[in-house]
Amino acid sequence: MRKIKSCLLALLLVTIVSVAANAQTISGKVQNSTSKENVAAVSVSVKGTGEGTFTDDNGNFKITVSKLPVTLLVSSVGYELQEVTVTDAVKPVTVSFKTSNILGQEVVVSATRTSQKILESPVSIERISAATIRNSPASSYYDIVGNLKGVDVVSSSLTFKTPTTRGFGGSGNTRVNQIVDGMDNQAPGLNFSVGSVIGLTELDVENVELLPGASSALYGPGGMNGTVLINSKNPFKYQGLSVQVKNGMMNVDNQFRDNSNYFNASLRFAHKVSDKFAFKIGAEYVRAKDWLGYDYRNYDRRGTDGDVEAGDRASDPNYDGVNIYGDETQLNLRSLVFPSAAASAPFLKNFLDTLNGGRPVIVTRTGYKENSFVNPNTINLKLSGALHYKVSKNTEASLVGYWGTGNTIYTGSDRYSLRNLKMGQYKIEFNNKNWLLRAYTTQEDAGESHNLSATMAQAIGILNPYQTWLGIYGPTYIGARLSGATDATAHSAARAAADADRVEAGTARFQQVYDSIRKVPISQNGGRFVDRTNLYQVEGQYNLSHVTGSFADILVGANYKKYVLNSEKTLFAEPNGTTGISEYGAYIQATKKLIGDKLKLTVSGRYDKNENFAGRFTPRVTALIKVAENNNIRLSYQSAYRFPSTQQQWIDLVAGGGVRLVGGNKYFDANYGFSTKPTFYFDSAKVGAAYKKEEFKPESVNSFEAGYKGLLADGKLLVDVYGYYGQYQNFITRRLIIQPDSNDIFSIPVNTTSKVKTFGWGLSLDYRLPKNFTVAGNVSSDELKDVPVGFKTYFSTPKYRANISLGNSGFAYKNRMGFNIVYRWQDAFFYESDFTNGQINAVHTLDAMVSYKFPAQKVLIKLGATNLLNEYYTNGMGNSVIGGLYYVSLGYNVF
Amino acid sequence: MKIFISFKKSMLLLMAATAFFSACNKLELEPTPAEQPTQETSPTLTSLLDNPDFSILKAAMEKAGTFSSSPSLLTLLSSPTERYTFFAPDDAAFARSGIPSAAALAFFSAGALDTALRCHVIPQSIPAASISTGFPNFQYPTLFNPAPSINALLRLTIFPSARPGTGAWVNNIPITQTDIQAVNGVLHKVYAVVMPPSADLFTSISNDAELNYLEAAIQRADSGVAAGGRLRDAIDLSVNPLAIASNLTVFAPTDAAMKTFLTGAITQALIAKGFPAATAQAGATAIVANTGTLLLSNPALIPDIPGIPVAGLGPQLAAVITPDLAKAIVAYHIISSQSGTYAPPGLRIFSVNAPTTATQLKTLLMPAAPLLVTDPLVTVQATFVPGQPFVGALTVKGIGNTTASNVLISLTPPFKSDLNTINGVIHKIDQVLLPPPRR
Repeated sequence: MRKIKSCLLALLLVTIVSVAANAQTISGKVQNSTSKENVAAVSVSVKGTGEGTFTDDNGNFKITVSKLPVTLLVSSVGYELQEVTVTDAVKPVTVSFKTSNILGQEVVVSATRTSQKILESPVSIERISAATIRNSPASSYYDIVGNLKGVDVVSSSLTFKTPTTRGFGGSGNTRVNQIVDGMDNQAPGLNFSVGSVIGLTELDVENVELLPGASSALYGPGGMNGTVLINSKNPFKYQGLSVQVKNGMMNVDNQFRDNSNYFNASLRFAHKVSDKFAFKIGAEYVRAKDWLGYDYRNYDRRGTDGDVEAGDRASDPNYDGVNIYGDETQLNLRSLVFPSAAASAPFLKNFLDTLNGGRPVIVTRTGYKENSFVNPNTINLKLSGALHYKVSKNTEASLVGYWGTGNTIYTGSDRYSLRNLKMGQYKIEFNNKNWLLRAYTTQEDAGESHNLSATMAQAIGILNPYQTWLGIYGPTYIGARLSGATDATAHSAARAAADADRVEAGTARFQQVYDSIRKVPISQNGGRFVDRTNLYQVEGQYNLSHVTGSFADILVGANYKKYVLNSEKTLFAEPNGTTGISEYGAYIQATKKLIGDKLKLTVSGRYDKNENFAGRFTPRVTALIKVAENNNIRLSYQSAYRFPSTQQQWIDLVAGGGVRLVGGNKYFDANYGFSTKPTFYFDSAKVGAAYKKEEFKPESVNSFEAGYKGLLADGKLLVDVYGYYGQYQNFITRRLIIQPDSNDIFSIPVNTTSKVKTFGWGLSLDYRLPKNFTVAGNVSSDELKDVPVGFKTYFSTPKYRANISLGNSGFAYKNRMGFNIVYRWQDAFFYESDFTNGQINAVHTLDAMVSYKFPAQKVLIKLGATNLLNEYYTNGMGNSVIGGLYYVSLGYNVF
Repeated sequence: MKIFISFKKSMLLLMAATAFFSACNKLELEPTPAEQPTQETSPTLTSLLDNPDFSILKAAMEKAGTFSSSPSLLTLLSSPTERYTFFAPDDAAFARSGIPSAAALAFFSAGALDTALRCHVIPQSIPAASISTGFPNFQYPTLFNPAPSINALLRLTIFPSARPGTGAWVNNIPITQTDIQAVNGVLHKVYAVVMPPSADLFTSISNDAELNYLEAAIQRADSGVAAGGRLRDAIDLSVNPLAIASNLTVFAPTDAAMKTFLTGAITQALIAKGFPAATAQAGATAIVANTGTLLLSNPALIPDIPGIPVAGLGPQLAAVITPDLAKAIVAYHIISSQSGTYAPPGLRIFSVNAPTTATQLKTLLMPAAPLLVTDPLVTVQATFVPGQPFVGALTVKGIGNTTASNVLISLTPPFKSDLNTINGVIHKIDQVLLPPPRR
């Protein structure tokens, strides 16, 4: 026994000695050549071996090499690549790192799922780096997406923002995929991407990549109008403790509400325990009084359609204010009150018949303004953690969890107060040089989220029952008319009498009733929607290039996902309890360089199958032509399509105006008898042709794009220009149908038969001036053509938009100051949604920030403002009115 | 220094660009009031009365204004924002109604004037073009509530109508001039004062010296009938307050007509008992002459009459003049919108509303198949005085009659037709309408 041990020990010693014979540990430090600050997360690798490490948050690194001398490659975006030859391991190496003036050197992954320089991307791509976030005036990194070329954002509230590209803007857009660390961030039941509410914490974002337009060939169904990919910081690379606190003010002019506080604190801690194991934890907390909707214009609601019309509460008895709730239900005095009045005083029948020319006499209850009862406290807490373990030299395993909860306001088919919304995403991933294996789940809980119209429609009936109210309104109105009062005078007298006992918002009684209704599910006459829908997905990818490289680079992958709908029948039909929907897909991509690397061709294809729909194949072909070094022309044809969202398949919800929104699943046809009972189309409030059952299909878009990206003026000017043309097919929209026997109106999802054309272009210029000044601008345009008359497209996108920015990342005293000014303009446009339609005026915003850093203390102070001029605006009908936000940010170790 | 210059240049560029886009967001959040028609303030219906033609009306309005009901009619009609139709009697119309001058108003109390005048106003603007030409007319509430404590929505009603080429009326009063516009409505001049009804159908019948037999027949018809099924439930507010909603037309046979009918009925019964025709005729005439309305209201109480050789006359008469017969006769004289029921809307046919071609109308008599050989309809026809807005002749014929009955039309008092009551109109006729024969 002892002998064996000795042998083992001897063997071990021999091994160690043989390694140690030449092993040397080089230590060093990387410093900015001008500001002398230590540079973190810099890649330090040994030339020729591929072995490497990163500098820690103090700029220090340690690397073990087998022999000396070696050449170290020191690189980081924004710096010039440096080669340092080390001959002596004893003396620490100091690298004086020079900032680079060359633009377009960032590396992107999402364009082809393989790393390449942004200049060489075969499709349009935009990128936000951690440095951009650091130097941006935006209060949240998510807002920076809105300043990218070709992007529009709809702001439902402070924390709920939805970006889109190339059209189809809207709150909770389902045509843009958002992928966070490889996980689809769309709430599986609510169908909106929650990136701005529950995603990465600001300090943990390494980069954001945006693929505008059609992009489902690689990322699966959904990305018809773009894919946003947000990637976090690997704890092996980005280490140490980072803290950032922003404290600010909103509503400074007290115009809509009193001046209120904005508070945002985030923290990240990452630690490399050994060369094999690292972990990180993160948290972010946001607290503010939210922006709210203040649109009190009169809305003529016709199911899920409608228009703004003249009239206010005083002049229109049928007034329905956009951001006023409880006034949606139309009460017809002719059918609800006149018969009983004519019964008690029959000689009035003829007289009553003549009122309002014999037409219905419609009145609505006196509603409550959004700001009078919606909890304005927006709270957002994000927690995240990750364990990373290097299984082998080339394989890293990670276990990641993101969890978030919050209160915010969201606009969908109605305005919603999302309260205690919780969403968690949990992932296990193996990442090899050549392959990837990932499994994750999204767990959603809508908490106490509720529909404002549904809640108030019920609450108002408890505060003062409809019968009681009409019992005063009706006779007072008739009495006034019998005294010769005009219609308008009679209505106002009746309203005054019926509202005499009105319970105002803010009273204890109001609050008690409101609270009791909003907690009860819609299916039980409340306003709450229960949603505990979950998503499970596994996916894998293999890069065969190391085998096939001599012929072409080939990449294959596949995924399987399953939705489990669970709303306790408050949102989805769920005829047999929770409803599962399965989807699977596979993709392949081949890349080949031709004509001496002047032409790079990539062909990709993807097949997806959803259990409720026929399978779909989406191809993509791209070509990158290198006209000169750093000057590339890109051409692409790609298609994208989208399976109807879980709501478009299974929703079963009565929306404002009494219209029942249903999904496209054949279950609804059978359940509501669309094909068996007399059913007609109901367009423009008229009973039209008989309803004809049609197959409900996924929608798709084919898009051609040509672009040029290149560096001019000695690498100081980066030009990017593109143009695209696309065609939508089987476009999913909604149409109203009516069953006259019961007078039930349904909104069903349908495909349009006509092909709708879309085209647009974009241009951006980035110019690096001397002394770290940069000036940049972009302008882009999107249009939709050949839209059939009377057809609601939900395009909701301005024809033109532009951004101009001027910034400096280091100037004045020891280059410690920074500033950035961003001006954005978007054209007026017509906004269409299931909640409201209407004209949105042009929006101008000016954001600005100045910063100062203390390199020794690693502290960055920032004074920032978004919408600096406090020019209130709204970028979606019925959405919140956004004003200026002014803040001071104090960051420690923000890299 | 150079840095500074380039910085300054950039800033200028940015500022220029910003100015170019003129950064000013336009928010549209506030509702725009619905477009209201501009409201003129003059003339009002009140100010139209300054015309000397309306001197008596204006004086009447002023006197009525001293009555406590508030606001006064003058005040109401002077408000430019309300809408009314005023059927206004001018001085000539007052004279036709027996009030030749303002001084003659002294005979009326302020309250009575207030009531009468409020019954000339509909709380709605009805220009001539909107006056109903449908049969028979259109029922509108006036401003007068006869019993606010019972129901705040209660109103006495009036009945505008129009007949293209002939004229327009309110009830049976011709409109002499239409469409005198005011900012708050329209004024139509009328031929005479539109007197408000003071009683219901039953009270009017029972107070009428010529309709004693009809009243008795109603009592006989209702004897032994439970509440709800009685004729009086349709016409008598004292037994059924809801009868205020009735809207009926009664062709009321006068006592003379009823006596003729009864004589005929008893003669037939006596002949059936074996009496010779002449004896039967004489006996029946004597019975009718001697018994009065008791013959209808309670014939069983009639004692034997000397000279009439029928023993136990009362019970025998009661077997002939049965409640069913009384009910059938009375019900057949009341016109309604549906057969067998007085449920709204009913029909209130003033003489000027009656059809000028022979037209069959429904009555309160049930179209009960086992009893009647045909539907119990009556045929009505009016003939206008040529070139005048007045009816000269109005006839109504029962299925069992060989000749039509005449409505007793008079163009001078005492009037026997168009007797308006709260819940119907009465036209006296000279012959009882005979329902279709029974099976």
